[in-house]
Amino acid sequence: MIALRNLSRRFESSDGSVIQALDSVNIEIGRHEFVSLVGPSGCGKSTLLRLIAGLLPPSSGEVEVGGEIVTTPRVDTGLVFQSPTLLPWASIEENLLFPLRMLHRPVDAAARQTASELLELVGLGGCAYKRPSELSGGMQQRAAICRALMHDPETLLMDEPFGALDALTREEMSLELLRICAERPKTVVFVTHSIVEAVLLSDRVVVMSAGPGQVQEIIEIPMPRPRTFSMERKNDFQDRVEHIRGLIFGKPAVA
Amino acid sequence: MFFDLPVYLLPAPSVIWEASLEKPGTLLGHTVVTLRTVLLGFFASVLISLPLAVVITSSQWLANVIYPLLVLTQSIPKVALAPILVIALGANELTRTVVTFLVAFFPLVIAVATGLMTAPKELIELGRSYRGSAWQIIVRIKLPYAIPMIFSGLKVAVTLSVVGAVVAEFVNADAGLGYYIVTSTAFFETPLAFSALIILSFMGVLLFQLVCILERRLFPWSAGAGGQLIA
Repeated sequence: MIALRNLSRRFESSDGSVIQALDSVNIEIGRHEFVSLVGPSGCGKSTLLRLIAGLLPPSSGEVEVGGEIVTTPRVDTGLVFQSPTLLPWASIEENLLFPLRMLHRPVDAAARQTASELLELVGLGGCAYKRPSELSGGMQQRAAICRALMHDPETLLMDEPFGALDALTREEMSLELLRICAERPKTVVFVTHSIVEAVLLSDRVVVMSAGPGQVQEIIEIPMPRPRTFSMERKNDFQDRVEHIRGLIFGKPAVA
Repeated sequence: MFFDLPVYLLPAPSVIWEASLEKPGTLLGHTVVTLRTVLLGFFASVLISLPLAVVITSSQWLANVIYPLLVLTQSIPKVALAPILVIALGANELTRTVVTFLVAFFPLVIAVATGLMTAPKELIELGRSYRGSAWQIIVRIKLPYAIPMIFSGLKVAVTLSVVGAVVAEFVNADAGLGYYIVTSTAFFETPLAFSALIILSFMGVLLFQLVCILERRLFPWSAGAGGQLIA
């Protein structure tokens, strides 16, 4: 479904030196698979996401999505960022309709129906006509996820979507995301700083290292779905978290 | 002793009021003429500043070309330029509009350009991810984000338009409040000059308030966001 082949990306910094953000990354992601990217700051996680989204061209190598080489943004991807980035002047419903307007798709009764169903799905049923500023941070991020789902994309690209939320809301939102993905299966590429979150949500976790950004190891998480917080107490869950922590901080995998 | 000042130096408010009532038609006529120049110059500033700011913010190269020219037009004293413009363009409304425009447009361009750059980078990425054209991204994302800044620019520009129109009338006019101040002071009719001055101040305040009302009516979220600092 998504294939990254020998993907590299360099940036030129303002003093003329070249930064190798990503170096020969090879990852294959299956249809409706949930894959997390974890790693230290500067390992190129966000760059990788933007390459898959077609927002950045690769320096070398290629990104293939659904059998096509990505050269421009694809209309079958939905993006969610760390901040909700809702339009502050528009109602929540208008914010959800924003992708359709950008894509020149009809904004009709059916579109509004889709919007209200999505809002219902994330528990924002009564908020369609509110302004973003009237919603809490968690609620705004839910609306942002709904917005990304409005045009029913195949792939959901999420760049630390819960990074700006408080710990409680964060836990609540991660299960919420799994529930959404169970109802409307999507291929998800999920960038996060939280190892526990990555293990809890993902089918596979890609651990990256910095300078240059490379894939260090890809870890399978064969736990059954639906996932619950109680799984976090299981030994194999903890072993995987410890293993990833060891990879990132360079400590022995098992203490 | 302050009350012994001669009328030609500093007329009492009552004297100004009486002098104004003696010639209401004349003052109204001059007010209408000046208001016309103010509005023409102001609308010219809006019509030119908005596209100019869009151009400046859309390309670094164009910004590098246009910015120095803009700053240059600002460093030229408009009072000195006005008589030269009269020779080039003639003693007419066009010249007065151009002078008003030159005084008023610069802060507007800067405000709009600054406003267009306030949209969050991620939102622009989101727009691009839906294959939005540059035009769509300007209209649907950047311009709405710029509204509070655009309106603070408009508030500065509308008051400067009054200044610009008076400067234009000082050097080139046979009517208008600026012209009226020049002629009445020439005959030491200071009370009349003061009435013109007071009308000009009120004109500035009223136009400023009109822009504020327009903002509140059209973009209530903008007036609530940052506009109140100024309004």
